[in-house]
Amino acid sequence: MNSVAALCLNIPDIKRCIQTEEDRTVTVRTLLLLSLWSCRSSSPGGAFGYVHSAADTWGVALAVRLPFIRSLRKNMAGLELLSDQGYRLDGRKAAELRKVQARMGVFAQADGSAYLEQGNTKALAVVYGPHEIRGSRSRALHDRAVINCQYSMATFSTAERKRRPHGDRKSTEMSLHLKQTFEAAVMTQLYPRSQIDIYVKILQSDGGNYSVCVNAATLAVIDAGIPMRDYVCACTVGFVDETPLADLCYAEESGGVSSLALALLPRGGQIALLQMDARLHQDHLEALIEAAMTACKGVSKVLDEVVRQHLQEVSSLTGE
Amino acid sequence: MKDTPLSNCERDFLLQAIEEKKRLDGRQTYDYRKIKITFGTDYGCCFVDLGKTRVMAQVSCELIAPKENRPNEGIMFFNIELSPMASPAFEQGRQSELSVKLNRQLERCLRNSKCIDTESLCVVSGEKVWQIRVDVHMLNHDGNLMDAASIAAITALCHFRRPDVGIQGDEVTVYSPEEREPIPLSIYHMPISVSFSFFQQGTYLLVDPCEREERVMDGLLMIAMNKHREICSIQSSGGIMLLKDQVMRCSKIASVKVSEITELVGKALENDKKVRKAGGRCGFAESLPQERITALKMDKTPVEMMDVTERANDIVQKAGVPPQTVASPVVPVPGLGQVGQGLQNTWGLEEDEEVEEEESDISGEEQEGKVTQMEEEKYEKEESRGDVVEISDSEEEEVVILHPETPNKAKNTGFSSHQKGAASSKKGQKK
Repeated sequence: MNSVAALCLNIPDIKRCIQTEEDRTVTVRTLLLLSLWSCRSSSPGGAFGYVHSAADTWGVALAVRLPFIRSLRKNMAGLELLSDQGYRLDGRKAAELRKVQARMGVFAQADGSAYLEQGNTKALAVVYGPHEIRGSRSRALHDRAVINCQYSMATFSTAERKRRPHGDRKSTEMSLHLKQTFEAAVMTQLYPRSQIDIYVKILQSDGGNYSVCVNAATLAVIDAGIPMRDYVCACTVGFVDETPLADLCYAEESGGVSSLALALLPRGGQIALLQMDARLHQDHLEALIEAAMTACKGVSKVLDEVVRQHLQEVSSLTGE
Repeated sequence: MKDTPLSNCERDFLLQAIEEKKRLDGRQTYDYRKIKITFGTDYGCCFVDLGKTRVMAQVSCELIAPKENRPNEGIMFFNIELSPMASPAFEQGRQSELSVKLNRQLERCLRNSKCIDTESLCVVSGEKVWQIRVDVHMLNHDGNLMDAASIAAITALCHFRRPDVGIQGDEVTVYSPEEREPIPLSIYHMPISVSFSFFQQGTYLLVDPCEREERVMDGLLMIAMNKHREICSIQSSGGIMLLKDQVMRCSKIASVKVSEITELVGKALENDKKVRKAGGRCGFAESLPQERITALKMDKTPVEMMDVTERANDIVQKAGVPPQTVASPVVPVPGLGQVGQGLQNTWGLEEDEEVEEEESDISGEEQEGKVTQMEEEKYEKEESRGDVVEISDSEEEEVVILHPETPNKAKNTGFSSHQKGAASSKKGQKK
């Protein structure tokens, strides 16, 4: 902000040198460019502050004339996260989800499996169980089943080759979150002293990793025939410009946008997992959670459709 | 070392108390424990006491090469150590689930919220940047490690001073603290985390759970905010289902608590600055209370004393006669003696057995304290049936003393239910 203040001081001097309106426009444009260049590393708010002072000095009319003001909603990559027409980087509207395509029963060996694509993020989920506890018997719970989750990313899933697909802190944390989510949803009281394994692998990562994993795992658990209280649907939402964006992609996530990942059981509106990073003012929290819940309900409709279709296919094949 | 499991009666007691809006240490639902912040002798060392939970944070810095994709930003590294001295449940070296969870939460709380200006840590772009490392050690675990760790980490970062650097062309000189005054880090805001624990499927909520409350809780919600009411991180853990209004309520409570704690941290930093300027002695050793014979300090334990006398009188009146003790050594048969039989077990597990015998033996006695009553009867029977004595508690060993006249009844006093079943079945056989 210090560099911005320095530039502001030059305006009165420049004003004197400018005779025509065209000169004025050009000069302010240059000044804006300069300010943006100097503020390139700070948050977009910094550049905005300068424009306000320029408008004050020169009158509101100028602000209208300059197209650069609108493009100040930029992230570090310099791309618009939300244009004024309301379109995002990939052409979606703010509350629009990415295209969901899913398949159940992908593998024959596993009890349940599913493959889910949400936009460009692709995940595979496999469920084994319920079966006897493997390993230490001491982990067995006398009244319910133990859910064991493992999350891993394929080494080719990200733009740069991942050196450690699993075992690092982020993957362990993600596995813990998945376990927590499904412990809330799966009716584990029906299978005491047994274990249910859920393995999820991300084949291509383009934002919303956790949400896609949860959705894929839900389908896999349903495919395995394990009873659940409700569909578990998850969605990642971000907050840009007072607008919640549903289902973030990688470019939006890495742009420093405050993102909220929510896993929801749609019928009761119960939140199984809530996770938020980056700064967000408290007043916007409610709107963001609302948007996330709406998006999750949308996802649940899609998943329901997939399950019914799969059931139809399977039953037609077996001739029922 | 495995932690001692929580007994069912303790769990029930805690849950019952929470339902009645009472906490073990007399706090209200939304109260924090007493927070005490002290600093070590070096800059960047901070101790935080949250009630009895004690953590220590130390900040250190080092010049290293930056990451390739961010050549002009410094690096922040956070590490939480769950030292075995904090709790018997923590094991040395193993990265347990709790350790991963705490580490990731602290990282998200402090790094993703960008509380520190990492660009000011750059010395030579692309070649040398400062790496700021925050190590948090748990010294005593009495619940709510996350909050204590976040307070300690951010206070230590505010307290820390890094050495000054001078760049002459290509050469970088790091000045020692004696040559040039070290510079504090540029901190934008102070994120502080507040933990909420949920009980009975989300019906009851407590702020700042102590260790016992943590054991019986269903789940935990951690909200990290700064005093400008910006939420830096939210994380729900445990298998609880939350509702949206619960989350909103928690965020409102958190904003209040965070402003209080931020004030406290500010005051502590101010005090420390004053003391250091005045040349006073500061450090860990100074902050401990002096060991003097005349200094006796005992914290007041909050105990509810409202209707103690009435209750005590009630209990005394209703209590029956204490059981008669058998003289020892017991000499049932000439030539056979036993010392130290011990009292009758009061577990009440053999009530079924006792009930059968009671009905056959006794009639029309007042049943005030049923257990004491049965104890007495059992003792009477034992005295009359003095031919059977227990030498050991083992189920396999039956001590049967054969007399020519008296009938023999083998008796087992086992302590487990299946032993009781076996005993009653044996009884059935003998009868």
